[in-house]
Amino acid sequence: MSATATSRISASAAVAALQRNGVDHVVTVPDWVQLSLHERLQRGVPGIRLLNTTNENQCITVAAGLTIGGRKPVLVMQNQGLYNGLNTLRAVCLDAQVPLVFMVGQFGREYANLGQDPRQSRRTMVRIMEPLLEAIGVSHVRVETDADFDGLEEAYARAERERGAVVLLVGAPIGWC
Amino acid sequence: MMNMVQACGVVAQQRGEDSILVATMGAMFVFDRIEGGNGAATGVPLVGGTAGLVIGLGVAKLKALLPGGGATGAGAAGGSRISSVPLMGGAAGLGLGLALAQPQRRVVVVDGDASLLMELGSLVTVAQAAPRNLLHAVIRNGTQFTGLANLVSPAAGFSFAEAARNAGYRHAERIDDGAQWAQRFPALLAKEGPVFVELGVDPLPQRAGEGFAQTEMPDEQFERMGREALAMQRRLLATETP
Repeated sequence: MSATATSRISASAAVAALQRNGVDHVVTVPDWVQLSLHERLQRGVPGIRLLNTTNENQCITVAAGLTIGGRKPVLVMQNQGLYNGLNTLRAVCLDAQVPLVFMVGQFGREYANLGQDPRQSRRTMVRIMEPLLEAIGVSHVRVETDADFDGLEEAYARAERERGAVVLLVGAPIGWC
Repeated sequence: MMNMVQACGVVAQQRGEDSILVATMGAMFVFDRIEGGNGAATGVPLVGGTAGLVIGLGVAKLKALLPGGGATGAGAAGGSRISSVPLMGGAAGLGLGLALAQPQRRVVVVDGDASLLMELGSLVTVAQAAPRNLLHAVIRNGTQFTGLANLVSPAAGFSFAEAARNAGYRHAERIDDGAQWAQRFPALLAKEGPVFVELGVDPLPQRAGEGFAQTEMPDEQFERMGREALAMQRRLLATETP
């Protein structure tokens, strides 16, 4: 029988955090961990335009264009997507220093690891994420509960201050509420 | 087929002061050479053939040396042009983001064929987002590292214009003649987008060969995109209409 988990993160808290911070575009390739957020955005959230791209490299360049043009996007993708977009992240956020905030789902995290250190996950794509971000000098914040969305404001401030990327690592499936 | 000075010169001369230009590396080098002090490539003759290419680049070089000629690459320095460098495949996405953020301005993307092939799905992304103010041009010269080694890009028989049409661009066409490109540009720029144009362009003459020594890639190549992004951000902010 498959394991289930009671989520301590909700789609409504995620949407509220985006609205509170004045996010006007969500640029994305959908993520299993953040499915309920995608569904909510797809139904329509006032003030937020959902932009689907065909891969994560485009998420990064489109969000960069929006940011340069004066908008406030957030990128939503899963860990595999961030691995896919690594060279674009290097070009846009490290070399060109465009400030961007990412919400990256830790897809594949085994439920037995919830509440534990994701660096101890038995799944490679989960385990290597934080060490990889640290190796390339990208700040990251864990989101494990609704309260952690309070960190979104500081994520934008830090991205702007340091002229680079800040990644919120969404560690568990966002609840459908 | 037109040459690179014609392909880029038409854009530089006709795009307008309020527009935004996104370019890939091959086009960036030509824009740097021909733009001149006002960013508009004024006075650079757009003549066909290899002779036209040499004359165009020669006049641009001469202008830069003349008193009051101004620095080259004014568009990039002044915040109206950004280069997707070094980042193949990034131009369409950057252009899309800028077009959505600045709907009152025309955004022109000058892409490369090998570059666009790396992110061919961006045609669908652009079409789905449907920016009305985006003109997306691709320089189809069939080569990578154009002007250096002219390696063949894997696009033989592939129609970019057809792909853009199938992706859902409102209008897509192919133009091979420089004079026709100059004549069509205002209408294409004014059209409701997204508009796509595939430009048939001759590759630049190859410089590398037996005994050629490759020079180090300068720091500038890795720093300019950031500088251009900042300059563009400031310019757009300063000229924002309430």
